[in-house]
Amino acid sequence: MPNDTVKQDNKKFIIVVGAGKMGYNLTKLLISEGHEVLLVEKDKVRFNELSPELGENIYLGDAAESDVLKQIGTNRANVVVTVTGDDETNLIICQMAKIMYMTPRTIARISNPKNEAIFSSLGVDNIVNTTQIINSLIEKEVDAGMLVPILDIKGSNAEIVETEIASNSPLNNKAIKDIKLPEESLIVSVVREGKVIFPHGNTVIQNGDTIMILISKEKRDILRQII
Amino acid sequence: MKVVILGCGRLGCRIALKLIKNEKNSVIVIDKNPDAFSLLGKDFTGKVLQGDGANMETYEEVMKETVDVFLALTNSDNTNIMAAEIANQKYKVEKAIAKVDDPIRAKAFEELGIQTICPTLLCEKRLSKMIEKTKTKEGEVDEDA
Repeated sequence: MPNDTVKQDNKKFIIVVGAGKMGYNLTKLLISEGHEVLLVEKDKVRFNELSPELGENIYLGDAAESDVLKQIGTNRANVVVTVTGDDETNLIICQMAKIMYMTPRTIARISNPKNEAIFSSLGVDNIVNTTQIINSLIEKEVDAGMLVPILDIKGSNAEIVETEIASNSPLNNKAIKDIKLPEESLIVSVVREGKVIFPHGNTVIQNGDTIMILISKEKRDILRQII
Repeated sequence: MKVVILGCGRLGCRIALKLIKNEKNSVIVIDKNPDAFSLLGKDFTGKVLQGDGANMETYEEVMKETVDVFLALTNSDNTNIMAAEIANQKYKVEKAIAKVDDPIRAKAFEELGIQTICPTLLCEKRLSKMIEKTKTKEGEVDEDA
């Protein structure tokens, strides 16, 4: 049974498609955080392998089949994450969740980086560099000074990145108004101990905070130097 | 007319051979399996290209010039939809058609502006008609069929 590390209102129903290592680990992590998770796998052998451990959290079926999407209750899913090895499968399932069930957030894994641009224009609404995010979720260790892309702003050169403030960061104990950020960048959110702070000039950054920054991609290097 | 066909199976092959008969047409057939091209026969005068339909790189060369018609006819619904979307969105091909066997998926993407053709639906309609015309053992047309 999932424990209650996630507050009741934060509890999400998350569908994970593809029970490879990434899907399996992501599922376990999300369950341990208290979410309702359903892992969908079309290969019977792999399903049988994981079924004893995951029980009702794993479903045998091809999520690209519209009947399966219906069966597994996609209509009430908050998030659909597709992490199969096929880019096209990942894309189509996300799109179907969007079109047919208006899933609020769809996340697709991309194997071929060249496909990233087309995904962003094709309805995987939040374009997320998933390999990196999912990885960081699994690893739970984000290097100090590492910028993790969270969201590409569609059709623009801007993105939102997040970074964790390390103890040796010059931003520690500084108010946002005193931080010399590069041009075309803005701190949009500070996450402290799981709570989101809507920042203003007097917000003081602390060790261990995660900050999210809206930034033009070409300014990333400048930002890296100051955090 | 410049036509690009993804998937050199029975259907892709037949369409390619039909279109190439008109000398005003240029036809390029793409398949990830090079053996598939043997279906086209020796006399096929169009071009063939080995490449994966779900990979953007495949299209870089062939789609450089304006393409009038793009047909995605592989045996994978997902590959076909993605390919048609690439043709449509990235290369602005007006007539990009995806073969989609799953009727519900076909309808969903039709609503999204992707032209689809669904063999399951076509067969179903045709079969229903054929059955309708069946005479019952008494020699009468069964009205309820």
